Amino acid sequence: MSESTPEFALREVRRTFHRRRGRGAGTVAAVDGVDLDVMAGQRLGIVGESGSGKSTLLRMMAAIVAPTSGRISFRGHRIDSARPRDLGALRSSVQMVFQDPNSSLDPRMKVADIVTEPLRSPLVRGRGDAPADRRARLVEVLAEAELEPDIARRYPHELSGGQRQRVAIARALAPEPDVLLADEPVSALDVSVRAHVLNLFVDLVRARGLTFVLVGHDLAVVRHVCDSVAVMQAGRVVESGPVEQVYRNPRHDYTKTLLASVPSIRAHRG
Amino acid sequence: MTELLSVENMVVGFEGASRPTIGGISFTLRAGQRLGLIGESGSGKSVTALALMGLLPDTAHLSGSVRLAGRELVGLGDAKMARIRGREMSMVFQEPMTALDPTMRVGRQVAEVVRLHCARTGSGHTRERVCRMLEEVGLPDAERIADSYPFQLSGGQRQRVMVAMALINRPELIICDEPTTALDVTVQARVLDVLDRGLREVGAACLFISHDLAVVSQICDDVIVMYRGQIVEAGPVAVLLDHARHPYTRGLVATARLDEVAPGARLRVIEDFWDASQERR
Repeated sequence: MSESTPEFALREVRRTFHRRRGRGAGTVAAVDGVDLDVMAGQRLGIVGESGSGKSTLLRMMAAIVAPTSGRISFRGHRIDSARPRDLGALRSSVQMVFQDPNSSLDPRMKVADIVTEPLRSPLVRGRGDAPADRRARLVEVLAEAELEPDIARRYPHELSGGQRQRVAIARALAPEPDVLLADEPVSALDVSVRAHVLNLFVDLVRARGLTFVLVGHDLAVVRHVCDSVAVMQAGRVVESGPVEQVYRNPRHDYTKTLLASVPSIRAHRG
Repeated sequence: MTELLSVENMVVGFEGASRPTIGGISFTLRAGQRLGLIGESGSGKSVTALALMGLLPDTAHLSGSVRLAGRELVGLGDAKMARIRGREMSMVFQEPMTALDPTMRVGRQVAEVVRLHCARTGSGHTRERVCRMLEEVGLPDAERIADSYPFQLSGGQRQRVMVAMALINRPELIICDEPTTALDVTVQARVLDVLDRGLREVGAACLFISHDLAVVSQICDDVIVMYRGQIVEAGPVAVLLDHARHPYTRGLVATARLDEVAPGARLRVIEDFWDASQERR
């Protein structure tokens, strides 16, 4: 039983938002009936266009946003209706990296405090095996994120975009999570920086056997990093499966359109 | 006269900056030619576009020479520059939500571009022309779109309106600054298609600024690579993609080609080709 229990199990998950003004005022279903399992060690990419509900779905998995209806379980325990203090297992094992490190890092905190903040959380400390020596852990994760130790004394605004995203990654890794959720983590970065950060993700996920859920609009990035993919359109998962199978043999029309729209470097070789 | 646009030793500096943002660049654009301008953030792509359009802020200092159809633009007064903008050259910005006036129906905004430059057209005629242009950029419901405010349109529709504004006076040069970067891929594909057909129909030359090599390779014949305010390499897209001379260009091309690397394998980075520290003198 326990071997086949998925890390995340989502059943008929729905989330609606209310829009007060403008065209389309009323209730909008951002996520509209999603069933999804994420197994331990799986590297799942969730792709779709803006408004497809992919970020909302990820946020519900992180219990930042609650579903309007449906069930979400983490390791067999419901998290959709749990009280904050009952989310200990989730909060201590799951970490998240956001798209824009400018807004996800506290501008008034030094890098050292940003990175070690999760270690001060009672939920993480209560886990027992959490890193106790915060200063040692700081140096360790900065090195893993390929950052110089002296960056610890700096503020986010003193760093480049790529460095900031590495700080966000170091922070997520600090409490030694089993699951990493990432929402468009390289979309705001230059291609040259993107390559560095993607290499870092691939190395870390592999070295630690992390369960990884990556939300992205860039199909090439998802294909590079993930082993499976779920394609979302208008709040639903329209197709899912092993990444190579979906990319080579898309079955759903929307997946085909999405893949055909990706600009490729025009081949001039002859 | 073969050159439509000729830029010679253009330097742009900002007050208080230790080094110029654009450090003396030169390039030319023939009538009808499509030239891509690629580089990372901060390389000076957008400042180049603003300098050509005469839209630099007052804190900037521009020198060198920019000639459009033989006419020197550097040092030209605001009023004269305004007459050239929108008629002889126009621009499509990255973010149509900030480029469009939020308080004005988009039909009027497109019409304004026409009226500013052709005093004699009557308003009924202008309206007709605006709607025809909106249809040409793939907005079949032109009447309704023209009567909408920007916030009532989707990102793709807004960018089509921008393209319509840029094309409507049939300028000789259109400068596009990351025109599809803010759009979803399926929308991007359609907007690029509209832009491609529009440019061909009008016969306009295009300076196409983008960080996305794939997009540039779809639209442009030639490309310029900028790095820290300098042009490091220029040439036909095909040559640059496969036989770049400058190591920085080779690195930039390699990082953009996720498709050439096996999934999960290490991606090449610019530093594999080019050590930035040797450049920082």
